[in-house]
Amino acid sequence: MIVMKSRIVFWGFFSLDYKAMETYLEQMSAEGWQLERVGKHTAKFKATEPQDLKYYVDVFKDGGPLNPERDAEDYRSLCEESGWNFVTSHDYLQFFSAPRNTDPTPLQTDETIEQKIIEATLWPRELGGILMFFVILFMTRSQFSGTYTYDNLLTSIGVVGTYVYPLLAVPMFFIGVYTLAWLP
Amino acid sequence: MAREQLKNLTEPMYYLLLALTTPQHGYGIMQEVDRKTMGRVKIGAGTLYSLLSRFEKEDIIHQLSDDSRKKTYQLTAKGFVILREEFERLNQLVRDGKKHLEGIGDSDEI
Repeated sequence: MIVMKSRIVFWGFFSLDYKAMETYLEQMSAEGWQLERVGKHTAKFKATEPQDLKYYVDVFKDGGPLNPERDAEDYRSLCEESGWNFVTSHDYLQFFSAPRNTDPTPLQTDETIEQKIIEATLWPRELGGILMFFVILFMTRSQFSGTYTYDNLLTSIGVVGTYVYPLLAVPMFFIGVYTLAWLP
Repeated sequence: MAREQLKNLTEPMYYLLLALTTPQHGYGIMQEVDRKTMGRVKIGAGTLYSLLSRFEKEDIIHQLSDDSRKKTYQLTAKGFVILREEFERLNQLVRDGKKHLEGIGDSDEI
C-alpha cells in the first residue's frame, strides 16, 4: 500500500530571489519531493519517485495579492501550450515544471521586458517592506534615544508613542491573517 | 510616468507582427515565428503574453470575436502602418549597407 506522504518546509525566499527557487525545486524533485503549494512562509511538497524536472518561476504582471487570479487563465494556458505544466502560484509568482528532456522554450525570452515586469511588481512590494522597517526603527529611536527615564512616558512623544505604536499592529494583523489563510 | 513610445521594433516584435498579418492565436504565433526563422528567434510564453497585452493596449493589434476559448489576434490598420514603416526602415539599412559593403570581403573573407 502506498502511503501518501507530504512535507511542509519553511519558505524563506525573498521574492526577488525567485530564480533561486528554481534550483531548489529541481533539487527537491530529484530527491523525490514535488512542489504542491507555496504560501508566504511555507511550502508543501508531496513524496513521489525522484524526477528529473526543470522548474520555471515566472512573475505574472497582472497577479499579486489584490487581483490574484485575474487574467491568469489566458497566461497559464499559453504557458501550458508551450510545454510548461502549471504547478501553483503565490502572489505574482507562478510556478511551472516540465520534464527536463522536453526542453521547452523559457517563459521569458526578453530580458528588458522581464526587468520591466519585476520593476512594476516585486520591487515596490519589497521596498515597502524595507521602508516599514525604517519607519519602525525611526519610531523606536525617537522614543528611546538619550537617557531613558520614566518621565518620558508623560511627554508628548511618550503619549503619542504609546498610542501610535500599537497602530503598527494593524497592518501586522492583516499580514498575519493573510499568511494563515494561505498556509498550505 | 509616460509610456515610452514604440520606436524601433525588436526582432521578436517584428516577427510577432509579421505573424499577425493573418489571424493567429497565442501559441500559433509562437509556432509561426519559430517556423519563419527556423528556430533562430524564440518567443517565450510569458514574453509573448506581455507583448500581446502591450500591443493591444496601444491599438497595434486587436482581438477577433472569439467563439472558441482561444483568443485570436490580428493587426489593426495602425499595426500595419507600423510594420510597413519598420520594413521600409530595414530596407533602407540594407540599401545603405550595400553601397559600402558589396564587393568588399567577397574575395578574402570566408
